[in-house]
Amino acid sequence: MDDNTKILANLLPELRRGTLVLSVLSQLAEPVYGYSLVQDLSGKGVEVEANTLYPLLRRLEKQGLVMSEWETTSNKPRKYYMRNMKGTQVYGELKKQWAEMVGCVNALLTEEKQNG
Amino acid sequence: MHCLRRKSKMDNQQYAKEQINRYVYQVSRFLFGKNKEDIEKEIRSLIDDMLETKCQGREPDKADIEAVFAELGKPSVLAGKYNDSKRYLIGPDLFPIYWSVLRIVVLIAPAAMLLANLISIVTGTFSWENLGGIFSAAFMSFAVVTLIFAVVEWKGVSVDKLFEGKIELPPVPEKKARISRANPIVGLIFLSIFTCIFIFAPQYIGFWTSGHSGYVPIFNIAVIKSVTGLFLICFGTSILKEIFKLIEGRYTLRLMIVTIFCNAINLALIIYIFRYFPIWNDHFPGQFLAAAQITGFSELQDKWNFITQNIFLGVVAFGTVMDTLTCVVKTLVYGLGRQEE
Repeated sequence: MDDNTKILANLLPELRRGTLVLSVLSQLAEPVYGYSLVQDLSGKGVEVEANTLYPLLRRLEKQGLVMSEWETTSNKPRKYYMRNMKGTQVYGELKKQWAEMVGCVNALLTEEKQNG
Repeated sequence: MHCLRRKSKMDNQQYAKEQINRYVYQVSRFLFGKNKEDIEKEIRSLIDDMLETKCQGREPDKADIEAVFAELGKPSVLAGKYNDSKRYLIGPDLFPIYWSVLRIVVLIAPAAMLLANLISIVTGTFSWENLGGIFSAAFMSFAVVTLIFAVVEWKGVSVDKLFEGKIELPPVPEKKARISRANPIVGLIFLSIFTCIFIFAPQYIGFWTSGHSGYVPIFNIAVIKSVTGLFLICFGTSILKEIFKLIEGRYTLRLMIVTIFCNAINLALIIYIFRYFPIWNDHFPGQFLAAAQITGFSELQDKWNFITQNIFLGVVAFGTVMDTLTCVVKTLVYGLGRQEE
């Protein structure tokens, strides 16, 4: 049992990692800053650590999917990120793929249930 | 009392600021590129947000700061996540080949030097000074091999795609088109032995008698020492060729180009070294005859001059041209045509 828990502990982050970009892109229709995104996602049941999300936002920006701007009018400067046109297109495609994938995997799982 | 509390609040603020500065500084040490300052600024703002959420209005204390840093992780690891492109001196594709070459060369080179030193003990010409050559040989081979692989990595030579830009895997080469691993490995072993002895112990290449005359060196030791750099280039290009044979494992256009390039440089350098530097020991015939106690063989000097000035370079040139031609012919016959099937 202990061994199973260990294996699961390794497998789950792997499973989550693949969905992270999709989850993040989904939240970037409006400008948000990194830490509020961490909290929002966490509130919606998607746990992501700040030290993963911040570099990911940079990567998405480098790929030209999101744009960013420093908000310096308040006493705390924060960097806000938002999907751009290309990001929205890619997000739409990813969403479609995700729906297909979920369908396929669910079909596999129900098939297994019926057989088992 | 009120004053004390205010002082403590100030201390806490100072402490937090100082610790955050330290953390961000550590991260920045491992950050590269033009976004460095921007990332630093963002991490600072992130730490502020995390502390604010954690403390809910009170001043952060040591435990809060520690918890936030623990969540962010080691500075070098965090910075590593920002430096997304994987940077290697020698990447995982090349590493297995690098490792096998390194093992051969770095073991063989000092072993050859050790042997040379043992022989010198037997012949009574040992000197402590030469013992350092064992370490120099190991270090030099390590440096040359690593440098070559680093350049190959930097140039982005792919290990499993062909030079011609085809993405498809090449067909399994027929037997004659293959280069067995033993070929470059034996080449590397001899190269290491030869180069190390030549660079670090040229005094042992010569004629030895047990009598009082001792060694008669074939080469002019001082001159060899003065052209060590050029010999190292020869060693480097020769090793590069053997490494490519290991990478390719068959005759390919890329290997042919590398072979022509390396052989051309080698030949040019050897001709240059042996033509323009008095590298041979001109007095060898006389010293040899004296040491071997042979009399009346005065034409030896003429023969020696002829051999060193003409025959030697002729043989080297012939060998190099043959090696190049063999590679070109085998590439054209087995290497190219079969890939297009």
